[in-house]
Amino acid sequence: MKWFINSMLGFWVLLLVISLGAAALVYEIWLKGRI
Amino acid sequence: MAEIHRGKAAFKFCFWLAASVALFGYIIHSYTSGQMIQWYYYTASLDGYAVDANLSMSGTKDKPVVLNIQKQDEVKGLVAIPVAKGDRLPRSANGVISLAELKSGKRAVLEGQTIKVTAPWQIKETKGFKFKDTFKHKGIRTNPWSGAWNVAMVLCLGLSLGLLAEGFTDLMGLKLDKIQHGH
Amino acid sequence: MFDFAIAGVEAPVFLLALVGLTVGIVGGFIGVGGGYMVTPALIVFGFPGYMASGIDMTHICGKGLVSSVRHRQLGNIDWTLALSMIAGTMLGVELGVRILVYFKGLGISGVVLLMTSVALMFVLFLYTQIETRRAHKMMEEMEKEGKEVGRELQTSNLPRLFQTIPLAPIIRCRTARVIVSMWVIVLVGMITGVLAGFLGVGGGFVRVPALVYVVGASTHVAVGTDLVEIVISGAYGALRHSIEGNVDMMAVLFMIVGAMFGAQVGSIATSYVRGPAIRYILSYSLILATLGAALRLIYVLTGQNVHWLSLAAVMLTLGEMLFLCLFISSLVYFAVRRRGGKWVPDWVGPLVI
Repeated sequence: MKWFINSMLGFWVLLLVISLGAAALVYEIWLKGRI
Repeated sequence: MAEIHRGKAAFKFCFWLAASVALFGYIIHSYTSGQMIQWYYYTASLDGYAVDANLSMSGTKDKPVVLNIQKQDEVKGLVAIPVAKGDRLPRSANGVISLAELKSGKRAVLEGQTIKVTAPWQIKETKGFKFKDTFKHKGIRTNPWSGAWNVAMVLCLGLSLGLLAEGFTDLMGLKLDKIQHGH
Repeated sequence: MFDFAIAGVEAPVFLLALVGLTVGIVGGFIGVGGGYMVTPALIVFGFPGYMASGIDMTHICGKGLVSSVRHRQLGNIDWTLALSMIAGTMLGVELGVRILVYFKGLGISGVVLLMTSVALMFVLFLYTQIETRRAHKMMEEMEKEGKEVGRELQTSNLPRLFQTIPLAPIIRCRTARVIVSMWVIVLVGMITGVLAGFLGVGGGFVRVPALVYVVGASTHVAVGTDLVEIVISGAYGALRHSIEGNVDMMAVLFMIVGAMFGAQVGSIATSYVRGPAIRYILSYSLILATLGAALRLIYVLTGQNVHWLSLAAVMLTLGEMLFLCLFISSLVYFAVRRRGGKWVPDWVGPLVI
């Protein structure tokens, strides 16, 4: 967990995972039927 | 000194808040009153029949949607109103079935005083997503002045919202000094 | 859900405002319009492609003005630079649109557009990322040696090269602290305008690096000045699109509701960071957009059969916006912590102020 904050690359990976997860949530809730 | 600044900031905030609310209200009113929509569906860009495209979307070859050709000021129900290129569109019209389309007969057929819409839906793949095409937006031309209105509205909104925010941060006492651009 | 009578679709209003908010944050921070993120998102929400472009362009104009007002307060706009670029930019956009129409006539515009986007964004990403890492390392060393680190550090030699071009008139851009031939500025405006007109975007993601690496302006000034250009080219684009029937003002309005907050957050955030931080976010935006465009390109080249590719492109676009907002917010959070004397990761120190 420390690597995700102390290293720039780790932080990048952490934020990307959170963002893609949130995007997947948005898709599930609002966009599934439209695509 | 600080009081004068706070007073100035409060005035700035209230003024631009009122301006922004007024602008939002004006734009929304222009939509709800139908003015914006009328400016969009303004004139016909080709000869044909003005229709409410939403009403004929269920038409198929076996079960066509029948539109009665009538001369009216407004598209009410299953009607098709004849228009020539450049004519103002009747109220509630959002598409034009062109004479060329009727001649080809692929999606709509002219039969006496009726138009039978047999295939209003065309399933198009647009950038990977199913995109249903109707007669909506076909054969219509917007009022060119509405373009100028759109830009003017958006610029006025941008300016008033920007200054509103500046007033807000001044009022909150958030110090935002000019950045020193040194290397 | 709101029934947009002009666009002819029912779309989720909350998502429109969210897109406006996220693109506002990113745009206010790195000086882009965000069109390459907004247009695909609008298409996913159900808007026809031609309307997605029109709505995006109109909203960019308004949002850009909101950001510009704040950047003016922060002293990030060089008006000499902005005004010198306008003519070149407008000419360039018109030329770019004509080139696009020419390729459309040949029937190959979709693929050419995507390929050009991918190649251009990847090259810009590489250059920006490499230069910024070098600057970041230099700043880390300076901090370790106890030297004072300024707001900006830029390690590219290109600006010096362009600044020595002796074509009159030579103009002095006071805020940008640059003395350069006006023709260099006009050329930057023209080339970025052509790319913008051709790719159908605001052009910020090319113009900001160009202002930094060609003209030699500091990143903050490049961002603020570029946003002014975006307002002007956005207004022209919005007018053209409106006349073509590509704009639904209600959709624009909902996006501006989000953007009015986002633009403030993004613009004010620039005062908490140093130049390289902005360039890092710009480079991340570029690589993620490159990936999204590359996925779309592969999808088109494989005959639009592999459906998951298209879905992945959408997810990446949405995820990218959230990622950039999170990163920008984190930088501000770390800056506030550092100002308060609290611990921040080592890599953050030189990036914030």
